[in-house]
Amino acid sequence: MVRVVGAPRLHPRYGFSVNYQTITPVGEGSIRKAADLLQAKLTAEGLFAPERKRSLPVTPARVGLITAASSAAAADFMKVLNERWGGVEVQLIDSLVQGDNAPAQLVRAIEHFNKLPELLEVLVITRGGGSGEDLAAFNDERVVRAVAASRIPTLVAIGHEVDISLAELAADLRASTPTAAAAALVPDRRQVLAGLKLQQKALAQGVAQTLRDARADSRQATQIIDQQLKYLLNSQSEKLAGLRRVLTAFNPDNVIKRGYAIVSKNGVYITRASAATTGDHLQLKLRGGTIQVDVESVDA
Amino acid sequence: MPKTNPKNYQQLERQLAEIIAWFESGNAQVDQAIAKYEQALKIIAQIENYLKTAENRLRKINAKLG
Repeated sequence: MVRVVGAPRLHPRYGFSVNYQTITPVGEGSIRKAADLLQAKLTAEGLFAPERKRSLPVTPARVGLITAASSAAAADFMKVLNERWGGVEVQLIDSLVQGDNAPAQLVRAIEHFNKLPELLEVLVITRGGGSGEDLAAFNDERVVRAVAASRIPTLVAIGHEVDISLAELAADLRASTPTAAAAALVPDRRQVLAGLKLQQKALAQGVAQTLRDARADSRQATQIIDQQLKYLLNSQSEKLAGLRRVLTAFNPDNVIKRGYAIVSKNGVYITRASAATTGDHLQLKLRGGTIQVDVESVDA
Repeated sequence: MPKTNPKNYQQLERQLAEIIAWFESGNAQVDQAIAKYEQALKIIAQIENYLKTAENRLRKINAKLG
């Protein structure tokens, strides 16, 4: 079934005729068929290829929104956006989203955003649910091509669950409804806040671990120094013990103990027999005391 | 006037990610660890404040759509 827009004529000779302006498929079946044919054509061109898809920024700060400004879709989108996140500048272009003029307006809106000197981070195109005929603009070849050609990454959400429009297939990301689009666009601040708590905990553990590692390092260094000191002390005390043994061996008291005597004359030790002469008075130091002797004779 | 500072969040998030990566690298130096940790806490406080106070701004563009 098709809808013909044109001027009807009734000619007396040739009968009824119509000078048509547009012929568009109408009715669910015809619209679906036209969309299927277009999908096959654009698929062959690679417009829907997964490798064309760009990832959207996680926290966009500047976003373009194309929708009917007074629609529930716009209100739903902003409501969920405000619930989830803050600090986003949303630039809205009010466009028709259904009817004969919708495709041309949607294309101009997409082009307008793409001509801005400083590109936005994401372009959201959305509308609420409707019949196949209501959503036909999003299966229009001009719209689909404009979405695919956008330099700004696109998020297209057309509110219906059963069929996915071709504009959504051409988008970098699709969502099922305006609400879902807002949810896909920005993170939930509550989750981010919860994540921050975890990050804070991980940081505290990180700093504690770093300090523990440093303490363990310094403990190890202290142990090494302790060992070196002990070794040094041990070797020195061994050396001292050796010296002590030598000194003990030279101790005159020990010599006396072994049966020798120390001879002195007038308080001076004498070590040779020739140092004494007959009549000298000598002192013999022995174990337990000193003996005073007079020299009777010297054999030297 | 709603409070918006669009670049702020992304910058703060990046700074925080850098500090976390520094700790996770295994090369964290003890003399810098405390300062980095305190810096991270300040950033977290700023992000929390941002998330609690920043508002979205809707601006209608007058584009000629025909």
